[in-house]
Amino acid sequence: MARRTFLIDTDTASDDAVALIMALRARDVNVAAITTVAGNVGVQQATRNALYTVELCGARVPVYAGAEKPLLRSHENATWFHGADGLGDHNYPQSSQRAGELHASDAIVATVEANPGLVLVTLGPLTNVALAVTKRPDIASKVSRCVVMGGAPCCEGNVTPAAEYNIWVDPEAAHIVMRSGLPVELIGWQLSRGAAVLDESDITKILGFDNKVAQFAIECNSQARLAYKEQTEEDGIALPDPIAMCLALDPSVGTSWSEHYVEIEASSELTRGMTVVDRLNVAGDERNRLNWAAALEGSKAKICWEMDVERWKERLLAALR
Amino acid sequence: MCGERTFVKRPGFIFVVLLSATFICPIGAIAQHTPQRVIIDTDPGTDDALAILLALNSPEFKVEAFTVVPGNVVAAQGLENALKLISLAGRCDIPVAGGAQHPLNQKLITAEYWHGQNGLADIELPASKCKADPRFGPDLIIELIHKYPHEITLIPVGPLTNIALAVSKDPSIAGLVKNIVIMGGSISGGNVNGAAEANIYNDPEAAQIVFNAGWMVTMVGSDVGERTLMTRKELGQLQSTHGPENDFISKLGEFYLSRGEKNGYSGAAMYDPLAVGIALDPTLGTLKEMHVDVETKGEFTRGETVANRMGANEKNVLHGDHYVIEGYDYLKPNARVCVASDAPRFLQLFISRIQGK
Repeated sequence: MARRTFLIDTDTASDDAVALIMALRARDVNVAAITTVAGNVGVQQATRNALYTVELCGARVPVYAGAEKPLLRSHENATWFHGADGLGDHNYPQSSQRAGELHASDAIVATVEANPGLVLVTLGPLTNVALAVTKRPDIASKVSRCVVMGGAPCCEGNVTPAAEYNIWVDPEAAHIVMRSGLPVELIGWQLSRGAAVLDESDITKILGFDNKVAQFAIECNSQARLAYKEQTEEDGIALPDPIAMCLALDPSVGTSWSEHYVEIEASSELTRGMTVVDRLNVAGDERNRLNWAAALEGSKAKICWEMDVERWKERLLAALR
Repeated sequence: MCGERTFVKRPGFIFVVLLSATFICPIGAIAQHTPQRVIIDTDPGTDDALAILLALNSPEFKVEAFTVVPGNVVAAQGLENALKLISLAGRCDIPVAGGAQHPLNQKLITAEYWHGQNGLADIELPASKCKADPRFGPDLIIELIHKYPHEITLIPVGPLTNIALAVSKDPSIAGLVKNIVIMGGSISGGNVNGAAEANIYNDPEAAQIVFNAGWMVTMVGSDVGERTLMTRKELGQLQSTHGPENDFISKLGEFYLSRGEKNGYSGAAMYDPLAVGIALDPTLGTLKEMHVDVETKGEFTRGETVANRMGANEKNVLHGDHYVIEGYDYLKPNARVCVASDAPRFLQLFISRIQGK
């Protein structure tokens, strides 16, 4: 099988780390670069976490640090969820590798140029990608898929009643990306809930693999598991970023997809960062045309509504075995 | 800043004034020996052309680069205009770099209505002998600020897209510039609508990024530009002398002034050149420290520069079912807002720099 090329932008904390592992261990995937962005943790911590994960997997992938804060808003981290270091505060050592010289946004441009047709997977706020496509709008057409972990297209958000964290943190950047012409596939937070959550038996199975990567995948989510229970009353490890990576690796795990215009709310404080999906395809109706005019000129995003939970877990376990 | 007038009372102020008086004021005398390094970010534009030629003919400045932003005209036209102007001034040694292709979060609004179809009063300048620099404008800004730490004065006279991109990519530049003097905003009504000035209106998100980047922005707004008018009298002075740049400005001034007169002004508003003037001599303006935010949401006020003139917000504290005012929350100023200009002195400076060139 010909190897596919992935480029991953991440605010590396606990679930990001598991997503990185899935990509780094996929035999048919070449991860050309990892870029980091301020989000769950500061960009320096995210870079350190990404470098550690790469080293743990025995991979040789360049990591580039990017935006220190969202474009317009102050940076709101999610250390209450992931731990102060983003990885559950287990004092993981510093990697011997260092981040590359390029700014993440330039690394995105350079990596896309060198690998036209690559798959871009974003696991954090979209600040770096927004900077990249603003500088070089032409890269949008050279990306075959842009799989975005972000939003809550059907449902309540995980940071406000309206919005999911990645989009909420930098709604202006998300707005730029949605308008950029990138072929966005939106993988909402809600897919990681309910039956998709790793339960006690899944966790026992993974720990039974008895390898350091599997151990790390569970251990670094210790704080996230507690926080998730407090947030949703669901017990287990919810993994939104690995689900996005799973769908990037194998879109057939998604069982219900459809294409719609999507707008990102950036003006209202109550609904800041909401992913407003034109699910009934009414954006072009007379009464909606004014507010949706700009979106209608752009391209639709592909939304994943449902997935095969069994296959998702198989895919994850295979990566950690 | 030498001779800068500020009305904010704080203990450090007297010290700053003494320091300025002792060390900085003599700069006027030694300006010829140590010109100020400047970068002009521009969307040329008629008044941009006046600003660019004023800067290039001012010995107080060493122009390190021009970066071009879409605004008055689209990006490609702006770059062409900038190259023609630099060529007219015989300064192909200065890099001219393009930048953003459109505002961050909205569609561009161009102003051929005010500036002519080509943005330069429909005057056909000779083809440029200068070539565009291949670097991306915001990256060039970052590069030069690191090359000359604490020496560069940024003078953005268009929408703030390029500056926002630069400071978003590298926030450290905010602490490494010498000064940033913008043409943009207004604290007393807009020139686009009741609230907003054109440069800010064309990219409010970028403007909000720039005002809150951590540097002190000197803001030369449209409300002051509109009280700094080149009238028939000054234009006559320029038309009495000759030279390639002088003649170009005479023609451009005629177009710009007539356009202003048709729309009820008694002259041509010196928006962009005044920003350059205040960068080279802050005493040409009356500057007051304030905290400025850019409204990015309001239906009627999107793009308004909202200046807090009292340096504080009332502190409202919830007591039972209602709020009670309990004094103030004080705000750190982020801008030196120009509230008035010495128009006659500025206009004479402008004329003296252009005449015979």
